[in-house]
Amino acid sequence: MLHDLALLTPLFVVLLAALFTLVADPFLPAHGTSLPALSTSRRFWGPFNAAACLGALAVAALLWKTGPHEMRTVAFALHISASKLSLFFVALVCLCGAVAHLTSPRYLEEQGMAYGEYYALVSFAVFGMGAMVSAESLLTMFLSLEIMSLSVYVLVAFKRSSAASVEAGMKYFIVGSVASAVFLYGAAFLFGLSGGTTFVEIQRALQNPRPGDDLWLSLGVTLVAAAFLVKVAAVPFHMWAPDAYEGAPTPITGFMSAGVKAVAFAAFLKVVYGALQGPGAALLHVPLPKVLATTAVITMTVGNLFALTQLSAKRMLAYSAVAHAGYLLLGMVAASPDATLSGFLTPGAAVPFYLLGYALASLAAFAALTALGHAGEELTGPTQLLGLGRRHPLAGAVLALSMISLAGVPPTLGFFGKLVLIREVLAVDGGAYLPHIVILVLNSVVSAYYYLRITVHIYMRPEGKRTDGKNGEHVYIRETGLTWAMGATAAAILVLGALPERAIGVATRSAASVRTRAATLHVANQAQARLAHRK
Amino acid sequence: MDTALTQAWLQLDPSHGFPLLTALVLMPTLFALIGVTIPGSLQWAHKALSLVGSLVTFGLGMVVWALTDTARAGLQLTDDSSWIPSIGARWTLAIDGLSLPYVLLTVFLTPLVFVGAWSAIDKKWKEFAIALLVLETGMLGSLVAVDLLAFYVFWEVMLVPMYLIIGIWGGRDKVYATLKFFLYTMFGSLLMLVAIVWMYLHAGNTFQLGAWTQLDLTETQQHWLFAAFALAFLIKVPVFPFHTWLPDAHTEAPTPGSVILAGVLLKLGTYGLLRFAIPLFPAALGWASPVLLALAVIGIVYGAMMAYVQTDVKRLVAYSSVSHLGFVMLGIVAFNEEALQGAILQGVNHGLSTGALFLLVGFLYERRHTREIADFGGIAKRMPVFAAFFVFVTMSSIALPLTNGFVGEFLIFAGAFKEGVRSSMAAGEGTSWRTMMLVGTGIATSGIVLGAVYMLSVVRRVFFGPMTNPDNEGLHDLTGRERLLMGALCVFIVWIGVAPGRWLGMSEATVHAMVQPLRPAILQVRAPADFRREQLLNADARAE
Repeated sequence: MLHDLALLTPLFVVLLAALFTLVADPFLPAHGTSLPALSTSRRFWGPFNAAACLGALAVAALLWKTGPHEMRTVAFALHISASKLSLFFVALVCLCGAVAHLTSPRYLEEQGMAYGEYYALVSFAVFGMGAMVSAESLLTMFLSLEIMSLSVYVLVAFKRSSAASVEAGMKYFIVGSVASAVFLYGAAFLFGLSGGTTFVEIQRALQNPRPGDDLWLSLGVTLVAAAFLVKVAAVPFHMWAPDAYEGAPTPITGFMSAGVKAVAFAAFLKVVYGALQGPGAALLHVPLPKVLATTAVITMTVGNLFALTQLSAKRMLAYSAVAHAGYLLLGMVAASPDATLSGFLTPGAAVPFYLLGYALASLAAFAALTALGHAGEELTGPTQLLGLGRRHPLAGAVLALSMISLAGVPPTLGFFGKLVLIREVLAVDGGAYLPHIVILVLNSVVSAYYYLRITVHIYMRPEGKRTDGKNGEHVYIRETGLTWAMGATAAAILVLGALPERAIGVATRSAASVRTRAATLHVANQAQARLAHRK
Repeated sequence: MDTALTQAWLQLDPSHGFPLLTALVLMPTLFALIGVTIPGSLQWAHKALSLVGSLVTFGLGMVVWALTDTARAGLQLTDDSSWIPSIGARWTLAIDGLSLPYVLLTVFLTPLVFVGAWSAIDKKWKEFAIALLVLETGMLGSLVAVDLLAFYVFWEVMLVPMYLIIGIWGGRDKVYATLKFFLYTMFGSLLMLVAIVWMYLHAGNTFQLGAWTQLDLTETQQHWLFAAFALAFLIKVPVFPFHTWLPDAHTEAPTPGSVILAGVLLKLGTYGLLRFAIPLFPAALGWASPVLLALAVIGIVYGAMMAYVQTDVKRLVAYSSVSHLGFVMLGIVAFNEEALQGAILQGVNHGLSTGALFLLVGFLYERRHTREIADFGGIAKRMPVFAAFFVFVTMSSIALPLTNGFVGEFLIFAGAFKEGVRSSMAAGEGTSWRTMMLVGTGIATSGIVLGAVYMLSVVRRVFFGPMTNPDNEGLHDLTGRERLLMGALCVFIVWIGVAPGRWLGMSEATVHAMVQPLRPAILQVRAPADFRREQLLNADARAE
């Protein structure tokens, strides 16, 4: 039991911080101003929760280093695990959480919503995300999905005085709930087929399929996959993304675009390629890689074309997030166990590695945009970015760098993400996906236009007068936590962009743990034997 | 088809003891990093630092020159270490007679550009210095990288600083120009990236150029891969009809940007063809020769005609680049020793003379804030030294004997005509290529005349005749700094023009070794009769 708990330490650290914040916050006096929403007394919850997230990240790194040699260690009667994959993504979402916490305090005060619950909710969401990537059964996965989603719904609608924010939260909630229901529906079919909810049980059932199983399997997998496609905002399930991204508080937009996307893809990998490996996977009537590849191409093209026409930086980044979901879906093709990749020891690094690059660029971009949220305004329109390079050089530089990274231009991490992805997808089945890759690079050129347009606004256009009739210049937020978050993410983009070896190695090992079905079953059997022994 | 050729000229020397090339490539970035830490208000510090940085790099370039044995072919001064082992990318840098001239051109032009920028760049000096230093790293890295991933990274690293230089310090339509430059170039590069990754997978997870030349590829594969590589390089050169970004970029760029763009960046296109696209897919060059020949000739004539009708001096010089690079392309398509030597040298020449022209136009612009030809006239009276330099550089640009331009263009035409005439001695089948080559080169010669027409006409209209515009009365002549800059460039214009031996000798051995395996492979496809004849001649030569 202690061993089981030890594996989940990172999650508990975050959970405890969240609970403490929630319980202690009502006892804090609301001094300083008559409006509690503008109070500075909640400010320290940001660094406090960020420290918890970073602590959890450190523990995850420690577990990675000292952890058992086998690929995964299963705990709690096979319902949750600590594998290289889960630890990688736990660390990633902890990073997302830390950045969200660091960038939020001043922003919340400026926007008049400095409530302590905000920080608790972010930490709850981080806990949910971590649990979701650690889940080894459909049940755990659903529960953690809901913990994450409910927290994020509330956070999106957190600025309750703003109609846009509430509408965004509502839209996201309704679409998200339908997705959860669809997930549950699919999970029910898989449960009916295997008599259990854990991935090990599903794998076992698929080894000795009975007649009719193929139908239930296909139905279940299709429904579960559709739910994930909603969460990653793939076309045609992307409609919620622009509104939710634009309406949400800026730090939350960054947190969502980096964190939610990352865990959705990680869980997707785990379910469709982890749980469904084995001879039973041949029963699937859906040609999953082909479906994914086609969806990918449509998603990236639609995302990029719509992003071209957006004027607000936040809304533009929402469509860009859709486009990146498209690139990642194509990367999923290479992670498929059925794919034959010549000359690769452990393929499948593309998705985690790309997600790392995307998450860092996205966090950096939204951290920089957070600095624009002054006095209840969101200065993310094109005219409001003019001259940002002069008036807030750091935010300008970080935003520009993250755009370059999202466009995939060296020497940034975004380039290597794209390179590794192209490399793996091109290797599948002797270049069968070459047309998709060509469409991908053409899409990159299209996307470069709207990413560069942001840098044009920052550096190259003359600064006009304010268009909103007020005097003086726009004022931006300057704060230590924000500065640190921007600096650290930007430095990571550049350093990992020049020397990506370590990051690729880590991503490769994390991906390898999805693919080793034999090892999984072996470990699962050992764990069951241990359980039996204790009884 | 058996495409694996033994290419001795791409043989990599064992690793050199001291990582000299790495130092050369990263030195500018090191100074850029130092520059980041100095506040931007200390403009003089950034001027001094960037000059010192580029001069140190120049010094390292001289050391590289001294240590490179140009008498033999093969990639030398190798730095080879592991970079990203998990995907098989290596940090492999090496130099030979093909890249050395351009490396020297780069390290020579960069300090001059910095000195020229003292007056041309009036704001954000810190950012400018950092951008240009990073750009120098990109240029030098592209020239010495022989691991294709390292090459690609350097190739793309050049993009962002140039984009910023045009976009921040440029003229009125700078945003349009810089976006066009970036997107155009990126479009070509990304298709090349797909080809690079395809080759990498095909070669068994290696990006090493040497290993790639050992691959057996089918004809169709070669054609597609060559197309992907060549498109990236042809856009960079730029060859008609991919040139439309160039006049805009040049016109809007600040003077230092134009000098670097014309002086070095365009050469990287022709360098890339010679280093990568042609050695990897020689038969595909044979296949594409007619098209490339036609495009080169159209570029020469069309560029010259467009230059003639421009009213803006800078735009005129930009179109003259399209025409001059057409000559270089003609030499590359001919692919014999004379033509290639000429093409390589003409690349350097164009960097010197067009770089000088852009600097001169920049001097004029700083004084009058206009570049319209009609605004000037008779200014030789007020600016005699300026006029003298301009006329001198014009002579180099229109390839007058005793200037560098003559040597380069003469060799290109000698080679190109030889390709047509020599072949026509072999009677019978396959005369179409020879005819094309002869006719094409014939038309191309008109480019020399047209070059004289537009350049001399601009000299006449700007410098001579009556001074009609009273605004020009107050013009002052070149300052000491400006004279020094022009003097440095003119020394080399004369040196190469009068005694080209040393400069041609730099690439002679490499070109010889390059032509030996590649020319038969190209001829085999584009003129089989000539191929058989040359085989016989070579056999005879060996028998003697």
